[in-house]
Amino acid sequence: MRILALALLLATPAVADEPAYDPNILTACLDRTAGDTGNARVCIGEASTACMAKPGGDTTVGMGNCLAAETKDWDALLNREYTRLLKRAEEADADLVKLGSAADPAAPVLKQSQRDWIAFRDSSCRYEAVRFQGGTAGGPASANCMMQLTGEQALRLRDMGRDNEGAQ
Amino acid sequence: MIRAGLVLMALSVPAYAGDASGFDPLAIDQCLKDATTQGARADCAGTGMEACLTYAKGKYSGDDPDFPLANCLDASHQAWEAKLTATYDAALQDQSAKGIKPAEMLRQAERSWIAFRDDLCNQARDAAGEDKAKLAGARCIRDETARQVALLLSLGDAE
Repeated sequence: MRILALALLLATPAVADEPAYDPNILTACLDRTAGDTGNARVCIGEASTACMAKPGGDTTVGMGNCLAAETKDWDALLNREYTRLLKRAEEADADLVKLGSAADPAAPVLKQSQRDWIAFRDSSCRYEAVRFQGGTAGGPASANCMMQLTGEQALRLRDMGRDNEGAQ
Repeated sequence: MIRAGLVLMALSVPAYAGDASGFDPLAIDQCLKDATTQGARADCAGTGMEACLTYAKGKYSGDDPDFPLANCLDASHQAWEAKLTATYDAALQDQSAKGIKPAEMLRQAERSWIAFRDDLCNQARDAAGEDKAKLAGARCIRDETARQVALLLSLGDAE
């Protein structure tokens, strides 16, 4: 009997008091804003805001979970785009070597830029947490900072090399 | 009488508080005032550009087609830079009152932002190719400065 109850418990999705994060909200928003490099940034925070509006989503733990879930999705996009750019840069660098070009290779610049972004993200979001000096708002504020900056960087990388000559 | 003369003079030039570029920095303040989220604040980046370009295209008679845009991007960047300095100084003053640690962390965050911005905008310049490098770099630094203003302003939101 106890085993059956345990099996039932394991079969139910997630835990009841955890707010549900819907990853489709972000995917749909990115589809909706595709082709417009500026507006995709409105997607940042949409899915986690919907998540926080659900039961359990307005507690400190719930907010943290919602924000972390969206950050994870942006991080996945960021990694995909970074890998794509790095591959492209490495191929271009290899071609330059073949041609005997003295031009500076692009891949090390991309890697350094990403390292500098991580330092920027960490120092900004650490500062955001410490501003609250141990208060319970420090967790969600820092998590929000991570989500915002990760989303922005994912979109920067996604749009890098896209033609935006007409942009003002 | 003197005052009336000054008002007339002020009215005869375009009503911009900034320099001769025709860029109005007050448009940025208005946009930031109306924006309620970090994303919306960052989207204020291009505010004032259209009016500046119309003005610059009307005034410029040279043969460099990129000049009006380059000039307006530069004026826009200057306006955002001033905004960033003011926002950062206000935050630093606020944090210094709370202790050495948060103020030092803010300084560190700003230093790391500068390193990141320089890398990113150098990349943007390189990627754009020789003839468009200047515009791409100017656009990058203006956009990133606006985003940093949005970030610093939004850090105060949760309080």
